[in-house]
Amino acid sequence: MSGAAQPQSESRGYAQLNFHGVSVLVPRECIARIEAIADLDLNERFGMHLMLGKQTFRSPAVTLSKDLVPAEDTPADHRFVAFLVLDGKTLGVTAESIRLLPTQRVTAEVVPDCVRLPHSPVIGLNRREGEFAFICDSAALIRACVSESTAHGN
Amino acid sequence: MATSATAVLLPLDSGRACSVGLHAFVEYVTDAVRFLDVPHAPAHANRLYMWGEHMAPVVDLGILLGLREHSPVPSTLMLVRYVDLKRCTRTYGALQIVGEPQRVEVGDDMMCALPEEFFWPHIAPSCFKHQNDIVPILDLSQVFSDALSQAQFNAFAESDLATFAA
Repeated sequence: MSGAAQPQSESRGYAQLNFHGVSVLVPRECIARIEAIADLDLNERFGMHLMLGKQTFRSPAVTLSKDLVPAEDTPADHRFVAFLVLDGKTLGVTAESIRLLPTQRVTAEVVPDCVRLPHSPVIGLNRREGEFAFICDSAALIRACVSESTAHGN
Repeated sequence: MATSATAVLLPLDSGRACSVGLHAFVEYVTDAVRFLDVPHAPAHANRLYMWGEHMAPVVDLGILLGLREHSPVPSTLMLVRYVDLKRCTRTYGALQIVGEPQRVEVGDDMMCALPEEFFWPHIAPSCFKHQNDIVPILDLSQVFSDALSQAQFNAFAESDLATFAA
């Protein structure tokens, strides 16, 4: 019994969303589409209506803070939106840049239990080229966004 | 016959302290600079300290003691080694402290009751009196598990139930 908790690795394609100096990895199959901000209607872009399933909005979008909770404003350098899909509904997450990584062996280091709340979307850490990316469960990320926005009455 | 053991006293703030066994002591860090803030983490443990190739979760007991609301980026840390019981591995953690750790001899005759804060029974199996201060002895496997978050959740739930019943 020695050494730190063993990282787990699997072959998978991820999309890397970069914003506020944070990198988030979500499985590529959880992304319905990627759009440039310019393609979005301005009301949708800045309205940030977060409730899923509202028919009046084709695809609500949200900007996340570095704490991965909905932020008030969308910075001007957020030029792209990745639409995550859950149960046939989509929620966009804005980002400064989005990289579609090819299917490759990705190592996920364990997030220690004490720094993880029960419903945290962060399921692992990926270390690459000296930088860290949070590997997220997209369903939990969407739920966190929706519950946070509901709690704030949006 | 009373027995004694060596512990390391860790100053937390405002005269409060806790302790760990000497065997857990790895390094007293005074120039910690490499941290990673973790989203969706409890306030008392929301960053990782990058120590070489290792990532050590940083726990600030001062938050739970109500000494501060937000944890500042720590400059002094006590790096410790503990056993992660869930994964059966020996790994590293860090405790945020405010001064130099101090080596003390602890005897059975110094034993006393735990302080009244709700979370101590979850992370400290015993306690001793040192110069009129009550010093819990930490079980590091519990400190770096989800025991503190669970204890907090249960305490809030109980408080909510009491309010509801009233």
